[in-house]
Amino acid sequence: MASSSTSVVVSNKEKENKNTKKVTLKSSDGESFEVDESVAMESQTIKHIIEDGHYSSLALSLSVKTTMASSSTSVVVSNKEKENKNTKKVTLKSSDGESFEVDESVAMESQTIKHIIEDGCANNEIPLPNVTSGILSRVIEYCKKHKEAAGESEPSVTSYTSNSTTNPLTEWDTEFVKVDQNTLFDLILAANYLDIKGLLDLTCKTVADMMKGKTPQEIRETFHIKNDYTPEEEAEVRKENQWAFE
Amino acid sequence: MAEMKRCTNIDRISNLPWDVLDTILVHIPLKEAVRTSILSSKWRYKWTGLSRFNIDDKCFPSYLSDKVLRWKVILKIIHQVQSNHGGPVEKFRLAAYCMPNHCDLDQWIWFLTDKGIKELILKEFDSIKRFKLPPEVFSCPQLSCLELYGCIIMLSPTFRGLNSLISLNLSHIYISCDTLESLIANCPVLERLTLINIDHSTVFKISNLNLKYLKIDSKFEDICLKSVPLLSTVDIRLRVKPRHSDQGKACNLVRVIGCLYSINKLILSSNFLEFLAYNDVPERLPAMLNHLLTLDLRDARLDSSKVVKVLLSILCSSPSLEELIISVSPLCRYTFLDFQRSECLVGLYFNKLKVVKIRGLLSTNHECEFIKFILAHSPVLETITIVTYGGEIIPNSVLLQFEPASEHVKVISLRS
Repeated sequence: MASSSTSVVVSNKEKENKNTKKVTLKSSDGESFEVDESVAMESQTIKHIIEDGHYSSLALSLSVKTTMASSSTSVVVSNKEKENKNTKKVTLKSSDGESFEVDESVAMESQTIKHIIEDGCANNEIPLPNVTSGILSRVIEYCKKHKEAAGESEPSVTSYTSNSTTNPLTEWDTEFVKVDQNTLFDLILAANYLDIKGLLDLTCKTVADMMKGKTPQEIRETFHIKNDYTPEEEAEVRKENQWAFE
Repeated sequence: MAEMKRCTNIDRISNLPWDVLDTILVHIPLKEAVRTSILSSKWRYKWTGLSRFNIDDKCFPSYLSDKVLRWKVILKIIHQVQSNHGGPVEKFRLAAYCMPNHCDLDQWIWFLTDKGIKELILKEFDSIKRFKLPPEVFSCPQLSCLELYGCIIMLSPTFRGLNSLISLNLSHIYISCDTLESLIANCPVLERLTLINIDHSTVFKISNLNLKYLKIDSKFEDICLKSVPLLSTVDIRLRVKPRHSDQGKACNLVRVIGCLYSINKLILSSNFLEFLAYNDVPERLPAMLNHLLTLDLRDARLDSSKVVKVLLSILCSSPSLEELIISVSPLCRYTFLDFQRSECLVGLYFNKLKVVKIRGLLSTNHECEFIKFILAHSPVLETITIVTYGGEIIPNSVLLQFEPASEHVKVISLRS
């Protein structure tokens, strides 16, 4: 991972046996990343360099942060001018007193927090008495991940995995909700209180999937629901909604 | 740790705030949602407060095939909801084989309009008599999706428009020309309009500044598409033979299609092509359809020289065409693809054309010449698929003679 101010050398190397044109991006501390030309051209800056043909020995000063996402050719190239802007932060305080500093844009994934900030009542520390630290840290993780994917705040952020056919977030989301039932319900309530639609839909759909196809007794067992009907009442309800029980 | 164990056995689902539980339950089929009534006394009427109801054939046991009895079940559901429902109902969809009682349906729709319905969908059920739709439906401020089947639509004099309506689908509806025109024109955010089997409207007058998608499959005598600047897809099928009436002097093709400057996709079927062919078809439209990407002619009577003229005229007016699909009507005994008469066409190159599919050819000489012409004039063509009905497929020897302009074109010739 290069530092916040690096220079990048772009060189063009055509591979003999393949038709896919590759380019090599070289960071200032000497690390080389070979990527498909088409992938590198997701960056408009690099695209213009390549198109202009001036790349054989041109070093650029950019504020570039490069990370290798995995061992395959997946590259995250982001162009974020850190010197000029100060990314605003807010502090969220959980019910058990723990403070979490997050980018304001990430925190604003929560409509509730968004309104607090916009109303000017923030003071940079927002107390969340309904959310414990354990849950809050997970919620922040969700918001961060989804904010990155949406790439709203930065002008030319691109992330791509070369061999993935599924939406990477779907897989991440599925893993994210693999938690015990208690945590799941805590997440639901937190998402509801903080008004984070994506998280609420995800967690509710997870619970729905836990209910689908199960008999009433199975559902009771899964969710520890106590059956307080008398046998007569239960028969009455069955008759009332007979069609659903057939 | 004992504390942890206690915590994991608490029933947390039954006490969730209602809107959260609703968000969960709308993801399970209605039948299963109703079954939650048996979980505990707290759950008895929770399902009646759902914000979305989808009643389809899966709600019924397989042995229940009588359509009247099915309606009785639906009525039971409706009555329970009506007696217990507290909050808004966002969506109601009825797509089950049944025979609705008009009184019941009327009352239920009235209830829904009161509940701020956003999506009302009535799909084909078994009903021969049309029922009169309560006009209140057309004053629902939040209605965004409306799909109606088998009703009579009349607007009240106080009709101001549906400000949230995005999608309108009318099937087997009885509505007058003026009512339809007014309805369409007064939906400022309308994007999709589908009209299937509309009765009592001889002329479709469609005018809407936001409309993007239009599909018509109905009888009509005339159609007027005015002020539709954003219209991107048009799919029209005329169900009867057009009447050769003298609708002014202008050619129908020019009058109806020629003004669709932003059109991306045109799907024109059978009798509608004959309708468009009336009154001298020009070799080229007065203005080019610069954004037309896909032209799909279905059930095309290419045994009519007039219809062929329509095809050629559009081809000459579509410089950006990427996809050309032609299905020749099985009623054709011969085709009349005499394109060489069109001066416009002969010198034309289809610089963007990538895909061509022609089915129903009879492998006549004219057709071969036409295919040869397309191949020679389409420099970026990727595939051309030819399906011949009966008879011989165009033999490989003939195909090899064709000199395509595009190096990588794939020619597929099949027999159906």
